[in-house]
Amino acid sequence: MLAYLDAASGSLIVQAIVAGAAGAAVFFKLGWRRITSPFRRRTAAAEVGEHDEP
Amino acid sequence: MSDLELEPASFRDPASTVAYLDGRVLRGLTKDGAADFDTLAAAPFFAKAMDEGKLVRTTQVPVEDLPQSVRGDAWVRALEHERIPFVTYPYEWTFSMLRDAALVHLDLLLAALDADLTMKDGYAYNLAFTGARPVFIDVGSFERVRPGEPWAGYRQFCQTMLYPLLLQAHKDVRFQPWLRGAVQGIQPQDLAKLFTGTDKMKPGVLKHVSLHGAMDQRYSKSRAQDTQKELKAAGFSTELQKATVTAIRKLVAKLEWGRSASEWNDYQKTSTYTDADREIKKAFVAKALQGKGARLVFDLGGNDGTYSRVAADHADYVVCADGDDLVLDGLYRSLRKEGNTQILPAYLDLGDPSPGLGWRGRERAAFFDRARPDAVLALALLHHLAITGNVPLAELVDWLHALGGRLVVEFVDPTDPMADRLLANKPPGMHGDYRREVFERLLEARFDIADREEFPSGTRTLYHATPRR
Repeated sequence: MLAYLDAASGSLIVQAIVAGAAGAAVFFKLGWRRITSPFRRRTAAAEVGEHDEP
Repeated sequence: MSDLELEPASFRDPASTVAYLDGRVLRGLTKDGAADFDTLAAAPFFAKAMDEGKLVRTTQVPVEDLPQSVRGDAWVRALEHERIPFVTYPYEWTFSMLRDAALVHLDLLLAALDADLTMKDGYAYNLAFTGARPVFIDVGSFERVRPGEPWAGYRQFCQTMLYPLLLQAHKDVRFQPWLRGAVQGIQPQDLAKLFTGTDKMKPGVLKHVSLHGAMDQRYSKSRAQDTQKELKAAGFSTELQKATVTAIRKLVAKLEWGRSASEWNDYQKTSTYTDADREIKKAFVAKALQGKGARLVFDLGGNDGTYSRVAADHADYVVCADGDDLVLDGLYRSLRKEGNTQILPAYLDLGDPSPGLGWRGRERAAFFDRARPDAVLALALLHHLAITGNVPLAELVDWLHALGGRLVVEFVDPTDPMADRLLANKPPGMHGDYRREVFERLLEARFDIADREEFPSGTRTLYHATPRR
């Protein structure tokens, strides 16, 4: 479910950095997943929603 | 039965709508909104926050109290809120007011996160002031937390609260014109361009402004829904949302506005008022308001609140409006320390008062459209508007009459040192009509003068007048 506001992707991602060390880990993992996602199997990619129908 | 009047600013969130009926403030909730409210009502912090005055007092009322809206919202639940005596908007708050309001917002969000709730937005307009106390008024903001998601209101919080505070704390730039310029506040990329060089080392700038601005640009094409899923998959958690909010709270709590002097800061020391003059004025104000049962008083050009305090002894609520935010910030801080909930400082340039803003210019009402005062104080004010602002005396008297309340007004003669100082900046003869006899004639045409008193100096006169219909 989405909030009524457009939370804006950049504003969501930067919060990981604001959260400190544990958040930074999430931030880098997110970056890594984005780089590696084309090489992962389709089920893994679907799990993170990259191939959701609009 | 009276008509239901929808709050003009309450339409963005479909789950929750505020409406007025016979002076009551009601809120209609849809099925989703009601489920969120049930979680909120069961949370231990809910009653506590209301007792502490941080959250507007809210009770459930029968849904039948709320006629169905013409807009066709499917309300299944109705709430009633305590009325805020006079609402001011963030562009009418001083630095300390915005900071304290931001802290109340973040404290409530942290308490919510401990109770499986979060907030769906982060809007400065979700707070109002009762005297010197910030109150969170948007009970519809609370929603059940969805694990793995960051705070959806972070961007809005930055734009309407954190950025204005950073602008004033780090750059000594007043935030109010920026907020008045756009009800959605300051964009990350705009602020990022203002913080250059060593500014980036100042607290909060690198992450919340520079990085946020860069990320915003980079991910402007990404869908928020996808990003939320990706963050969740990468391990984002409610605990991390809490860590984010805790870090923002720590930052906000230490922001200070360093300015220590302004034009009016030493007004009381440098003005030509004697203590005796001040006592005369206090007694005159008290006499004019005593026993009149005024609910709302506007103290226009109220400066450090000396006469607002006198008025507050004889009225329910006083709005002290002034165009000097430093003096007003000082007043706010003293009132806050005293726990005052009766005098509201309002930052307002009376020569350019807040207009209607937002959708159709109605979302945020113009300052003077919000309520009709029972009494108006205009002490040592008119000479500024007439001489510095070039507003004709007839126009000023017309304005005071239109406000509708009884009037306590001071006329400062052109020969008075304070008026003379202002006249010295203008071409000789330009304000030839600025004379006491002209003012009195205009006043008598629109008001009945109940009382008048001349200061011993002979250059200032006080009038107590009631508007003629």
